[in-house]
Amino acid sequence: MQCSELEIVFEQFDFDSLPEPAREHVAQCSACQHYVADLKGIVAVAHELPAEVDPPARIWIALRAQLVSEGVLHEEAISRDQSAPWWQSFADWFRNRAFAAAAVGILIVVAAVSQMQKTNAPVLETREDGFGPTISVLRQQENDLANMQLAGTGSASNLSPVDTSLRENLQQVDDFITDCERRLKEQPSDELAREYLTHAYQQKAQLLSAMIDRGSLN
Amino acid sequence: MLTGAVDRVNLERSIEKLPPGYRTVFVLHDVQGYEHNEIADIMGCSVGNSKSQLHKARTRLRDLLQEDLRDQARTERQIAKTQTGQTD
Repeated sequence: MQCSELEIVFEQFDFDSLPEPAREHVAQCSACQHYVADLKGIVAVAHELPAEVDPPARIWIALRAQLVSEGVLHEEAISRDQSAPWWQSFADWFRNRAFAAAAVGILIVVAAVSQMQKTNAPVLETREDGFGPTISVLRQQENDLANMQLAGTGSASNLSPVDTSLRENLQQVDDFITDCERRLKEQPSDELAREYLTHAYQQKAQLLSAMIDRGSLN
Repeated sequence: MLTGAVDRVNLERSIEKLPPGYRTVFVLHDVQGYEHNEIADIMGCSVGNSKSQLHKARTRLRDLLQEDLRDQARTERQIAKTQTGQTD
């Protein structure tokens, strides 16, 4: 077996379960030994990285209870969600071309509106749309995060790429929430906007939790 | 050889440089622990494609990390050279 042939084997097998010919080659080839050692090292360090989209249960339980009491989230949706990660529901949406097109349209509108407004106005305004308690939970999370930053953890001057990415994602979610809230205010019966807003609040809660957890680790 | 030189910081930095498709598969599998069949469902691709993307992502990360280490070594040499020049 040659080094080049090993590429296909590495693609299909775990390093610890390589077929016999591949193991024999690696045992005799220092270049392949280094290659395997490097990739194993990368995987080992990757396992130590925090899974940033996996929020602590406490946050989601509190928020979900709130959403259920408001009638925004139904029991049926909860049981479906429990068997799948939160973002899988987004993936399901995007398998539907109509939803994908609508989402792209909304994102374009969000980008255009945020570009035109160029404002840092608070995202969570008090509104008569039934989301008040949910917003309160999110506000509390934002306050906790702000307090942690004031206390010196997670300072903006020395952010890791993951922290930067989380902040960018949070800004995008905030923009999206602003747009959904505006649409819902204009058309309170718009169920699609309400559904988008619900998911956006969930995503925001998860992002804030991830940021708080990372801050407390630093 | 990278062994011992990879840490969370330079790995995170290198992950950010990966093309989006590679990054997604790598993070789902090696960071979050999803199996290839789950990744295939999420991304709407085959299990074989998920495995192939993962291997390419790991290989690309190795290249990026090696590049990163070379840059660091070069910077350290330049700093040492500057300090030596100042001492003389």
